[in-house]
Amino acid sequence: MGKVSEKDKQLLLLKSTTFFKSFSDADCETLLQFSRIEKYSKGRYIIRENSFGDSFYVILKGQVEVVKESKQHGTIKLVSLSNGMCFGEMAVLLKEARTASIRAEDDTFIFEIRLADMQKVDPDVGEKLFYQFAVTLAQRLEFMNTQRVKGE
Amino acid sequence: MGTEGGPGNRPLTNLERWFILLRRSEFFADFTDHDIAAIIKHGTFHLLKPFTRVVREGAEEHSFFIILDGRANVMKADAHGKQQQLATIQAGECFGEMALLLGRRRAASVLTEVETHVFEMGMSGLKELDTPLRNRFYYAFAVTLARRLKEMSTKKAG
Repeated sequence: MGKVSEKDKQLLLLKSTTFFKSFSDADCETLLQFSRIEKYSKGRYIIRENSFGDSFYVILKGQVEVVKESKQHGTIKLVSLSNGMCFGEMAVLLKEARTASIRAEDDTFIFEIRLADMQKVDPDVGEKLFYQFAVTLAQRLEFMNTQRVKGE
Repeated sequence: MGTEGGPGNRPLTNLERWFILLRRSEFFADFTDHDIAAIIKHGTFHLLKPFTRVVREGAEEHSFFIILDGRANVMKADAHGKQQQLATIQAGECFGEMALLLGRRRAASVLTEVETHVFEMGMSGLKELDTPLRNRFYYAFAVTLARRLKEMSTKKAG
Protein backbone atom coordinates (compact mmCIF):
# COMPACT_ATOMS: atom_id res chain seq x y z
CA MET A 1 0.00 0.00 0.00
CA GLY A 2 1.35 3.43 -0.89
CA LYS A 3 2.13 6.03 1.77
CA VAL A 4 -0.24 8.97 2.07
CA SER A 5 1.65 12.10 1.01
CA GLU A 6 1.97 15.15 3.26
CA LYS A 7 -0.16 17.10 0.80
CA ASP A 8 -2.92 14.48 0.90
CA LYS A 9 -2.86 14.56 4.72
CA GLN A 10 -3.23 18.34 4.63
CA LEU A 11 -6.09 18.12 2.13
CA LEU A 12 -7.86 15.58 4.32
CA LEU A 13 -7.47 17.86 7.34
CA LEU A 14 -8.94 20.84 5.47
CA LYS A 15 -11.86 18.91 4.02
CA SER A 16 -12.78 17.39 7.39
CA THR A 17 -13.17 20.85 8.99
CA THR A 18 -16.60 22.54 8.98
CA PHE A 19 -15.05 25.96 8.26
CA PHE A 20 -14.02 24.66 4.81
CA LYS A 21 -17.17 22.68 4.01
CA SER A 22 -18.00 24.84 0.98
CA PHE A 23 -14.51 24.38 -0.52
CA SER A 24 -14.02 21.83 -3.32
CA ASP A 25 -10.93 19.59 -3.57
CA ALA A 26 -9.52 21.97 -6.19
CA ASP A 27 -10.23 24.98 -3.92
CA CYS A 28 -8.35 23.29 -1.06
CA GLU A 29 -5.38 22.53 -3.30
CA THR A 30 -5.25 26.17 -4.40
CA LEU A 31 -5.59 27.38 -0.83
CA LEU A 32 -2.69 25.25 0.37
CA GLN A 33 -0.36 27.11 -2.01
CA PHE A 34 -1.03 30.37 -0.14
CA SER A 35 -1.28 29.16 3.44
CA ARG A 36 0.33 26.73 5.83
CA ILE A 37 -0.79 23.99 8.18
CA GLU A 38 1.32 23.52 11.27
CA LYS A 39 1.17 21.05 14.13
CA TYR A 40 1.49 22.59 17.60
CA SER A 41 2.34 20.29 20.47
CA LYS A 42 0.56 20.67 23.80
CA GLY A 43 1.57 23.84 25.67
CA ARG A 44 3.10 25.57 22.67
CA TYR A 45 2.00 29.15 21.95
CA ILE A 46 0.47 29.96 18.57
CA ILE A 47 -0.13 33.64 19.27
CA ARG A 48 1.29 35.85 22.02
CA GLU A 49 -0.73 38.57 23.77
CA ASN A 50 0.28 42.12 22.73
CA SER A 51 2.10 40.93 19.59
CA PHE A 52 1.08 42.23 16.17
CA GLY A 53 0.23 39.87 13.36
CA ASP A 54 -1.46 39.71 10.00
CA SER A 55 -2.62 36.09 10.03
CA PHE A 56 -5.98 34.42 10.43
CA TYR A 57 -6.10 30.93 11.95
CA VAL A 58 -8.51 27.98 11.80
CA ILE A 59 -8.31 24.94 14.07
CA LEU A 60 -8.32 21.84 11.87
CA LYS A 61 -7.84 19.24 14.58
CA GLY A 62 -7.29 19.49 18.31
CA GLN A 63 -7.99 22.19 20.88
CA VAL A 64 -6.46 25.47 21.99
CA GLU A 65 -6.94 27.70 25.00
CA VAL A 66 -7.27 31.48 25.02
CA VAL A 67 -5.18 32.86 27.91
CA LYS A 68 -4.39 36.27 29.35
CA GLU A 69 -1.61 37.36 31.65
CA SER A 70 -2.51 39.09 34.89
CA LYS A 71 0.01 40.61 37.29
CA GLN A 72 -2.12 39.53 40.26
CA HIS A 73 -3.33 36.12 39.10
CA GLY A 74 -0.73 34.93 36.59
CA THR A 75 -1.96 33.18 33.44
CA ILE A 76 -5.76 33.02 33.27
CA LYS A 77 -7.59 30.74 30.87
CA LEU A 78 -10.62 32.42 29.27
CA VAL A 79 -12.02 29.73 27.01
CA SER A 80 -11.16 26.69 24.88
CA LEU A 81 -11.59 26.63 21.11
CA SER A 82 -11.81 23.46 19.04
CA ASN A 83 -12.20 21.98 15.51
CA GLY A 84 -13.59 24.37 12.93
CA MET A 85 -13.24 27.49 15.07
CA CYS A 86 -11.13 30.41 13.99
CA PHE A 87 -9.06 32.96 15.89
CA GLY A 88 -6.73 35.87 15.29
CA GLU A 89 -9.14 37.68 13.01
CA MET A 90 -10.03 40.54 15.37
CA ALA A 91 -6.47 41.88 15.63
CA VAL A 92 -6.00 41.72 11.84
CA LEU A 93 -9.33 43.40 11.02
CA LEU A 94 -8.98 46.11 13.67
CA LYS A 95 -5.21 46.53 13.10
CA GLU A 96 -4.50 46.12 16.81
CA ALA A 97 -2.22 44.07 19.03
CA ARG A 98 -3.37 40.58 19.95
CA THR A 99 -5.59 40.87 23.04
CA ALA A 100 -4.82 37.37 24.33
CA SER A 101 -2.44 34.47 23.81
CA ILE A 102 -3.47 31.21 22.15
CA ARG A 103 -1.86 27.99 23.38
CA ALA A 104 -2.34 24.40 22.21
CA GLU A 105 -4.18 22.23 24.79
CA ASP A 106 -3.57 19.07 22.75
CA ASP A 107 -1.43 18.24 19.75
CA THR A 108 -3.24 20.57 17.38
CA PHE A 109 -3.23 21.22 13.64
CA ILE A 110 -3.69 24.88 12.73
CA PHE A 111 -4.40 26.42 9.32
CA GLU A 112 -2.81 29.87 8.97
CA ILE A 113 -3.19 32.40 6.18
CA ARG A 114 -1.94 35.97 5.99
CA LEU A 115 -4.38 38.68 4.92
CA ALA A 116 -2.09 39.64 2.03
CA ASP A 117 -2.21 36.04 0.76
CA MET A 118 -6.01 35.91 1.04
CA GLN A 119 -6.01 38.81 -1.38
CA LYS A 120 -3.61 37.02 -3.76
CA VAL A 121 -5.32 33.65 -3.93
CA ASP A 122 -7.68 32.93 -6.86
CA PRO A 123 -10.62 35.37 -6.33
CA ASP A 124 -13.27 32.60 -6.34
CA VAL A 125 -11.43 30.74 -3.59
CA GLY A 126 -10.74 34.03 -1.83
CA GLU A 127 -14.46 34.80 -1.93
CA LYS A 128 -15.28 31.63 0.01
CA LEU A 129 -12.65 32.52 2.58
CA PHE A 130 -13.69 36.18 3.04
CA TYR A 131 -17.37 35.17 3.12
CA GLN A 132 -16.75 32.44 5.71
CA PHE A 133 -14.83 34.81 8.01
CA ALA A 134 -17.61 37.44 7.70
CA VAL A 135 -20.28 34.80 8.45
CA THR A 136 -18.30 33.52 11.45
CA LEU A 137 -18.14 37.02 12.93
CA ALA A 138 -21.83 37.60 12.23
CA GLN A 139 -22.68 34.34 14.06
CA ARG A 140 -20.51 35.38 16.99
CA LEU A 141 -22.22 38.79 17.20
CA GLU A 142 -25.64 37.18 16.94
CA PHE A 143 -24.74 34.84 19.83
CA MET A 144 -23.51 37.77 21.97
CA ASN A 145 -26.70 39.73 21.21
CA THR A 146 -28.78 36.73 22.29
CA GLN A 147 -26.77 36.35 25.52
CA ARG A 148 -27.16 40.06 26.24
CA VAL A 149 -30.95 39.91 25.79
CA LYS A 150 -31.16 36.82 28.06
CA GLY A 151 -29.13 38.63 30.70
CA GLU A 152 -31.37 41.70 30.73
CA MET B 1 -26.03 66.97 1.34
CA GLY B 2 -23.03 69.19 0.61
CA THR B 3 -22.51 72.40 -1.23
CA GLU B 4 -20.06 71.18 -3.86
CA GLY B 5 -21.06 72.09 -7.40
CA GLY B 6 -20.09 70.36 -10.59
CA PRO B 7 -17.67 71.79 -13.15
CA GLY B 8 -18.53 75.42 -13.97
CA ASN B 9 -20.66 75.47 -10.79
CA ARG B 10 -23.53 73.65 -12.45
CA PRO B 11 -25.68 71.65 -10.00
CA LEU B 12 -24.41 68.15 -9.26
CA THR B 13 -26.20 65.28 -10.97
CA ASN B 14 -27.77 62.62 -8.75
CA LEU B 15 -25.00 60.20 -9.73
CA GLU B 16 -22.34 62.68 -8.69
CA ARG B 17 -24.07 63.36 -5.36
CA TRP B 18 -24.39 59.65 -4.63
CA PHE B 19 -20.77 59.08 -5.58
CA ILE B 20 -19.61 61.80 -3.17
CA LEU B 21 -21.80 60.45 -0.34
CA LEU B 22 -20.63 56.85 -0.81
CA ARG B 23 -17.03 58.03 -1.13
CA ARG B 24 -17.29 59.81 2.25
CA SER B 25 -18.69 56.84 4.14
CA GLU B 26 -16.34 54.94 6.45
CA PHE B 27 -17.58 51.60 5.13
CA PHE B 28 -16.03 52.34 1.71
CA ALA B 29 -12.76 53.83 3.03
CA ASP B 30 -10.65 51.07 1.40
CA PHE B 31 -12.59 50.96 -1.89
CA THR B 32 -11.31 52.73 -5.02
CA ASP B 33 -13.25 55.35 -6.97
CA HIS B 34 -13.66 52.73 -9.68
CA ASP B 35 -15.19 50.36 -7.10
CA ILE B 36 -17.67 53.04 -5.97
CA ALA B 37 -18.69 53.74 -9.56
CA ALA B 38 -19.42 50.01 -10.07
CA ILE B 39 -21.29 49.70 -6.75
CA ILE B 40 -23.62 52.61 -7.61
CA LYS B 41 -24.93 50.65 -10.60
CA HIS B 42 -26.00 47.66 -8.48
CA GLY B 43 -27.66 49.29 -5.51
CA THR B 44 -30.60 51.59 -4.88
CA PHE B 45 -30.66 55.07 -3.40
CA HIS B 46 -33.55 56.26 -1.26
CA LEU B 47 -34.40 59.71 0.08
CA LEU B 48 -36.55 59.07 3.14
CA LYS B 49 -38.68 61.47 5.14
CA PRO B 50 -38.33 61.64 8.95
CA PHE B 51 -39.85 58.71 10.88
CA THR B 52 -39.87 56.42 7.85
CA ARG B 53 -39.39 52.74 8.67
CA VAL B 54 -36.43 51.49 6.67
CA VAL B 55 -36.60 47.90 7.94
CA ARG B 56 -39.23 46.18 10.06
CA GLU B 57 -38.41 43.81 12.93
CA GLY B 58 -39.17 40.22 11.95
CA ALA B 59 -39.26 40.91 8.20
CA GLU B 60 -37.80 38.26 5.92
CA GLU B 61 -35.61 40.49 3.76
CA HIS B 62 -31.87 40.54 3.44
CA SER B 63 -30.42 43.72 1.98
CA PHE B 64 -27.93 45.87 3.77
CA PHE B 65 -27.99 49.66 4.03
CA ILE B 66 -25.60 52.55 4.47
CA ILE B 67 -26.78 55.87 5.87
CA LEU B 68 -25.30 58.45 3.53
CA ASP B 69 -26.77 61.56 5.10
CA GLY B 70 -29.06 61.98 8.13
CA ARG B 71 -29.54 59.39 10.88
CA ALA B 72 -31.82 56.59 11.98
CA ASN B 73 -32.73 54.78 15.18
CA VAL B 74 -32.69 51.06 15.87
CA MET B 75 -35.91 50.07 17.66
CA LYS B 76 -36.92 46.76 19.18
CA ALA B 77 -40.09 45.62 20.89
CA ASP B 78 -39.61 44.71 24.55
CA ALA B 79 -41.38 41.86 26.37
CA HIS B 80 -44.52 44.03 26.64
CA GLY B 81 -44.47 44.98 22.96
CA LYS B 82 -43.28 48.53 23.65
CA GLN B 83 -40.69 49.91 21.22
CA GLN B 84 -37.33 50.59 22.85
CA GLN B 85 -34.53 52.53 21.19
CA LEU B 86 -31.34 50.47 21.12
CA ALA B 87 -28.98 52.68 19.13
CA THR B 88 -28.63 55.52 16.65
CA ILE B 89 -27.03 54.95 13.26
CA GLN B 90 -25.12 57.97 11.95
CA ALA B 91 -24.12 59.00 8.44
CA GLY B 92 -21.43 56.69 7.08
CA GLU B 93 -22.54 53.70 9.16
CA CYS B 94 -24.20 50.58 7.85
CA PHE B 95 -26.85 48.15 9.08
CA GLY B 96 -28.60 45.03 7.86
CA GLU B 97 -25.43 43.11 7.06
CA MET B 98 -26.25 40.38 9.62
CA ALA B 99 -29.51 39.57 7.80
CA LEU B 100 -27.64 39.55 4.47
CA LEU B 101 -24.83 37.27 5.70
CA LEU B 102 -26.90 34.91 7.86
CA GLY B 103 -30.22 34.99 5.95
CA ARG B 104 -32.08 35.81 9.18
CA ARG B 105 -35.24 37.80 9.76
CA ARG B 106 -34.62 41.42 10.79
CA ALA B 107 -33.65 41.46 14.49
CA ALA B 108 -34.89 45.04 14.97
CA SER B 109 -36.64 47.87 13.14
CA VAL B 110 -34.82 50.95 11.85
CA LEU B 111 -36.62 54.30 11.59
CA THR B 112 -35.24 57.54 10.23
CA GLU B 113 -35.04 60.41 12.70
CA VAL B 114 -34.56 63.17 10.13
CA GLU B 115 -34.61 63.38 6.34
CA THR B 116 -32.14 60.64 5.40
CA HIS B 117 -30.37 59.42 2.26
CA VAL B 118 -29.84 55.67 2.31
CA PHE B 119 -28.04 53.31 -0.07
CA GLU B 120 -29.41 49.76 -0.24
CA MET B 121 -27.85 46.64 -1.73
CA GLY B 122 -29.14 43.08 -1.67
CA MET B 123 -27.34 39.78 -2.27
CA SER B 124 -28.44 39.86 -5.92
CA GLY B 125 -26.69 43.23 -6.36
CA LEU B 126 -23.59 41.94 -4.60
CA LYS B 127 -23.51 38.88 -6.88
CA GLU B 128 -23.45 41.16 -9.93
CA LEU B 129 -20.19 42.75 -8.84
CA ASP B 130 -16.91 41.22 -9.98
CA THR B 131 -15.43 38.76 -7.49
CA PRO B 132 -12.50 40.86 -6.19
CA LEU B 133 -14.89 43.75 -5.47
CA ARG B 134 -17.35 41.41 -3.75
CA ASN B 135 -14.43 40.14 -1.62
CA ARG B 136 -13.70 43.71 -0.54
CA PHE B 137 -17.34 43.92 0.57
CA TYR B 138 -17.05 40.78 2.67
CA TYR B 139 -13.85 42.14 4.18
CA ALA B 140 -15.57 45.47 4.96
CA PHE B 141 -18.47 43.54 6.59
CA ALA B 142 -15.94 41.61 8.67
CA VAL B 143 -14.28 44.87 9.83
CA THR B 144 -17.69 46.36 10.75
CA LEU B 145 -18.66 43.23 12.69
CA ALA B 146 -15.28 43.10 14.46
CA ARG B 147 -15.75 46.71 15.63
CA ARG B 148 -19.23 45.88 16.98
CA LEU B 149 -17.92 42.79 18.78
CA LYS B 150 -15.17 44.83 20.37
CA GLU B 151 -17.64 47.53 21.46
CA MET B 152 -19.91 44.91 22.96
CA SER B 153 -17.02 43.23 24.81
CA THR B 154 -15.85 46.60 26.13
CA LYS B 155 -19.36 47.48 27.41
CA LYS B 156 -19.70 44.05 29.01
CA ALA B 157 -16.32 44.39 30.79
CA GLY B 158 -17.17 47.92 31.92
